[in-house]
Amino acid sequence: MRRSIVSFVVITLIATACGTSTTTNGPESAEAGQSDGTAPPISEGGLRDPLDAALEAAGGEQIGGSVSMLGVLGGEELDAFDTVLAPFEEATGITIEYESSRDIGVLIQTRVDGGNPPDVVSTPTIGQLFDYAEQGVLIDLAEVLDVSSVERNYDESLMNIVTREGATFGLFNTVNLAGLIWYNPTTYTGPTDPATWSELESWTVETAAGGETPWCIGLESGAASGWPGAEFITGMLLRQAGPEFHDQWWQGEVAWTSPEVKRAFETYGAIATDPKMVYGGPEAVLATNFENGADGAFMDPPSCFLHEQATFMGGIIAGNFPDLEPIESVDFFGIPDFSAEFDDLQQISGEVVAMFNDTPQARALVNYLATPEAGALIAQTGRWLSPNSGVPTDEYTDPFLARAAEILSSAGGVSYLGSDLLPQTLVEGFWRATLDYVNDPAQLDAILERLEGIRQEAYP
Amino acid sequence: MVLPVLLVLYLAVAEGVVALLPKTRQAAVRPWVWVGPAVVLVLLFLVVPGLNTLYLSFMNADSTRFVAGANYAHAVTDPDFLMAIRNSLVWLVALPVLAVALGLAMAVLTDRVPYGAVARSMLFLPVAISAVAGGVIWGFMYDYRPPGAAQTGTLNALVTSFGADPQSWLVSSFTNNGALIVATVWMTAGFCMVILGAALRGIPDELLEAARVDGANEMHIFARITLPLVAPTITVVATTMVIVALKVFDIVYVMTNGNFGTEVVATIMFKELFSARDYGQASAIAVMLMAMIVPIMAWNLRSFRREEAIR
Repeated sequence: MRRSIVSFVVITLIATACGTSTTTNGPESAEAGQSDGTAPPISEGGLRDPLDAALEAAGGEQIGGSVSMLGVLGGEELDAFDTVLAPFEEATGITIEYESSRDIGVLIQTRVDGGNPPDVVSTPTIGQLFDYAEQGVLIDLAEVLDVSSVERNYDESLMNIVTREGATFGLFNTVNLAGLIWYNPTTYTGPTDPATWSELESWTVETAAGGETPWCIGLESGAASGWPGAEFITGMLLRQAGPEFHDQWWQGEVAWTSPEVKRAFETYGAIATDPKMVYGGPEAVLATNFENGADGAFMDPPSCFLHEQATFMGGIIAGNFPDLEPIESVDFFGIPDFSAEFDDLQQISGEVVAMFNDTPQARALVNYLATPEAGALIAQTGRWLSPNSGVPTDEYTDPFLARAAEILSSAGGVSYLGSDLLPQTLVEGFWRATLDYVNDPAQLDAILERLEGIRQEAYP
Repeated sequence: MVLPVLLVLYLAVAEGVVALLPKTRQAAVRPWVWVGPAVVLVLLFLVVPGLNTLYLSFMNADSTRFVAGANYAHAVTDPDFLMAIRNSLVWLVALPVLAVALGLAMAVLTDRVPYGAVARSMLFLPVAISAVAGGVIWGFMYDYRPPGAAQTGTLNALVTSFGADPQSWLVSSFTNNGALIVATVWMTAGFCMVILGAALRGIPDELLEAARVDGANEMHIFARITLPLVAPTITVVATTMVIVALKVFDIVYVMTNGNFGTEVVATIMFKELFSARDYGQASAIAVMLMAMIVPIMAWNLRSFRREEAIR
């Protein structure tokens, strides 16, 4: 069942964002000023008013009531996502009770075991959803959604991830391009498009020798602390050991004690455990919240220059430093290649919407989120890519998302971020291992053996 | 809504039945009629789940196979669990000592000033804060920024103003358990203060006056009269704190999630239950936790009864 998703094409749809395609609005569209008469490349007849799309998702009726939704978003990210939900609430009269925790895996588990699951979840913990799908706890969305439009609008490789035992247990809601290195163009003097990791590394080593710390890292994230490091290590693993090994790894077919995994940890450790390489040394790495992880690069004077995180970090940085101008004073490049054998690989992550309770309100919400209109609103937040290829490309007005699309379109291969697909115990074990390793690098072998022990119990 | 109605109906019917009995038997039966609902509820919500947990602790992860003592054997050889036991022992000693000492000091001092009531109310406020909110607050207190950066954490701002280096209180294994305990003391000392304060006010003024007339100074009075008289209360409060220490969870979960050597028994149990979904292992840990708490609770109840008897 677990298929490799080395290359896929949803991205090409997103990628045309940087092209010159134009979109029309259908005659029923309420928005004016966009139509130019030519047929859009993807969507049929342009987009409707989100209110209309929401009402149709609810079966054309103001059904009212409420739907509980569990997610990971908070603060400004939640405000941004609320702009996607607002038309739905307005058009259908349904109240969305959004509950949020970064430690969502545990929360879902608690609620499901307690017999009180939320109606809908939107979660990056896809590996955990695999379990629930196999137990038949999740509603098969094939019975909820218009299958033909989903097949038209969602890439097959993305749908393969959310298919288990022949049932569609979830639908991608948002997509991030992972493995980006953020920097401040006004202070960073290193390579902005390094061809290889060693090119970047030699700049960082030089900078460290000159007495400045090249990297900024923050791993604190409450009960989910460690996840940013685990994702960075996963990015290293993909680029060092290749997509095939990466897939075997998250599918539980290779040992965590294998040299490839160890090398990825060590590459990360060369940065995160060395006080010369990372601002504040391991102490600050462990104590700094991930949302402040990049702050050092945008201070005056800067205390560090490079920060690894997915596309959504652009929004977080902008929230922390409202005066920055995208591209001018905040920008990113992808983690460079480690070898010519595995070149130009990219990784995406995202949130999957899944349904635990089959209520009319939950059905309406999932149907709404599957519409290109909701996807367009997601694109307009400037924080996430929409997985929906029915979203007209010019909805991506955010320069970072356009750049992300550019990187993805030219990628030699795209993989899904394996650290999100691991079974829940391994996800949490991996987070903790990252913290333990940064705290005491000498323990690496013991840490990996521990993870290997968890692996041997975690897969069915 | 349903339960009170059922309860009233039950009492009405049962009283009716009791009334039919001969007068001599009524006195013997009536207490059981009235205590019955409570017994049923305790059985249903405490004893049955407790026994079920005991049963599950001898089963495998998804409770489908009997594994005898394997879960217990695994727990006592698991380095994380041993660390949690060690930490729980530290909590067990430090929390009651600090909370009771601070509570007693606050009770004695606020008893002697005219604005005592106001001061007590303010000192009691943290008790009303949920542990999660308290954890977040203390997270800000302990916030760490590298040396040289502006310290946003209260404690590090204080430390650096004296010229020392900032400490990562929640990460360093020398300070993190202590940091968590201090946060909990902040949230529990007010409770100790209120209970001990009540006991202090129960000491007859004549006694203290007599001592003063006899020339005892305040330290003598505290050590020879006050302390012995409130000792039973201190025992009750301290054992309550011991139980708080043994079952501490939320503060640890919110502030460190058991990372960096701060795991306690309850966080381990939580992880086995909700992350590993190992019901057997989690139940075994719950049983061991219960086994540790029950004797202390029994002692607590006994001293509480003794104190009531004195009154």
